[in-house]
Amino acid sequence: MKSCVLLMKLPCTEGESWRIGEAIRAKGDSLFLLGDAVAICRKEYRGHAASIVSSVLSKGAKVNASARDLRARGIEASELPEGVKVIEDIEGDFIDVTMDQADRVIAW
Amino acid sequence: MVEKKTLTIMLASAPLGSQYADHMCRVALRALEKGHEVEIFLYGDAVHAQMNHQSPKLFFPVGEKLKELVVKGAKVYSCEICSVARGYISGQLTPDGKKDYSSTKVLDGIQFTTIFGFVESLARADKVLSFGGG
Repeated sequence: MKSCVLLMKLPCTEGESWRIGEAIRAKGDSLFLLGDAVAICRKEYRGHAASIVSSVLSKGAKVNASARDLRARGIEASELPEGVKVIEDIEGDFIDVTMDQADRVIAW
Repeated sequence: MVEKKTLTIMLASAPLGSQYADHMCRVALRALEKGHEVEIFLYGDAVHAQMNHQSPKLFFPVGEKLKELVVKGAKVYSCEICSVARGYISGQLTPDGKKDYSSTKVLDGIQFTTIFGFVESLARADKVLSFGGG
């Protein structure tokens, strides 16, 4: 079963959303970061659930961050860990995974 | 050529107060552009997204995007009870026994339904997404 998770807010502002990392279990799963959620993929992020991205990457799953939302928050590609994919048309990629690849989709 | 599927989306947060409506519009637009059917249900404070004459000069133009989504084929449903509660429609029975959904406050192309209509949309969906709420 392939899982796709879309996270749009920082875990520190959205209560239990840190648990979404548990939905990503295997290679082939995907985490998409939009809006404020892009900040959790900064290497220096020390907020709540700071380990989500490293945990997801260690499982071989994909982490995709919105280039538009990173720019809006002044976050440079050099601030991101290796393995995070920065995507201009992230909604297009998200739709491809959601409609054609994922068995389970969670948007938070 | 992708297989045409149906995406049902619930938006449950008001525009401008958060970016959920912005994200929803962008995702829905790309789904349409990739050849999928899109059905959107505005629920709770999200019905404010249907307001006519929005003018968010410095923010994402949710009203304009909803109009674009309708023009490109999305079915945009709004919760009737939520809309009555917020003064968009009367929802009163007319002499011919239908509910009055007429309004100058609502964007063209918005259709009104109840939560049961949303359940019917869920039954048609291949995939379901929710944005906001909680």
